[in-house]
Amino acid sequence: MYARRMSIVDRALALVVGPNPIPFVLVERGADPVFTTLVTENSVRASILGRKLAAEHPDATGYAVAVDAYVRIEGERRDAIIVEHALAGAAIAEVVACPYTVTDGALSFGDPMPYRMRPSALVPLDPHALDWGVVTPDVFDRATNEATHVVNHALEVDDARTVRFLRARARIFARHLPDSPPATQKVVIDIRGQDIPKKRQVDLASRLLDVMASVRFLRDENEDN
Amino acid sequence: MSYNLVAEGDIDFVDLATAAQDLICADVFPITGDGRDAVGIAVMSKRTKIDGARANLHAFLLELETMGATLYDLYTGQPIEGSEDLNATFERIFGD
Repeated sequence: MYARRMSIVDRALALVVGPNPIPFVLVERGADPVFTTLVTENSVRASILGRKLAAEHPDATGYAVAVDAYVRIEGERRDAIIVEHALAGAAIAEVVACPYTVTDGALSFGDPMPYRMRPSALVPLDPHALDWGVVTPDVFDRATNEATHVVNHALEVDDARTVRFLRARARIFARHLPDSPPATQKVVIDIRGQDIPKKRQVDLASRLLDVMASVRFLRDENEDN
Repeated sequence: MSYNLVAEGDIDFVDLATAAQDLICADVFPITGDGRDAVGIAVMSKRTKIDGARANLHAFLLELETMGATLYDLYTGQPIEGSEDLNATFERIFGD
């Protein structure tokens, strides 16, 4: 297994062209590998794009994303090709740093060094399963076991983002709030100073009521109910 | 009460979840579906006075920009495009 994984790195490095290497993704799928250069603004975007392209090949047997970057080795900044690679069936991709020097326009590589591990691009990622740290309710009433979200968004401009935002926030809160008995969530939407007709309020609420126990609108005092 | 932002576009959820662990004043969470990757950012007003909160959030938003995500300020409903917009948003969040 190790030898096969290293061979992907070797094959990727063989595709690197100096003196200014262009990022690329190599997707292996039997005798028909796919090589795609990644023209983006930086190596972070190149890595993201490379993983997306690799994931588009359900028949991939392995992939390698290679980007040019810097690493620090014993305090010294070195040029390196960063290669993320994994075989199909593996949950984790290994990322190695391959330091290089340029001589007469040609690159010569040192030994690949372990850099980090991350989920393989060939395995669908559920971002909700990651650890996103703390959640902080706007209000949490222990007596009623109820979390209240309070938002003040420009709903005259757009309400689709607000719905997506609140549904996702409710989803992550559900993981963290007490579950015995299960806590409920509600939302107060401050629309003071905005002209949001009642019909739109009802429509907006209808898109939230499967994840919120209630949706209440905070309106100007002189506005009709 | 929180001040809410959304970042849409190319997002490395793995690296961003790691970066979110270091955030001082905001909760971050993934938004998926509708074919668009995004993250929600809820900046908690009661934590904006903590030393270093502004620089800490700024560094996180720069990470999103590096990934190629577009940031939206839900208070205005507008994208944050450039330092002038970001300064205006930070003025509303941090009051300076």
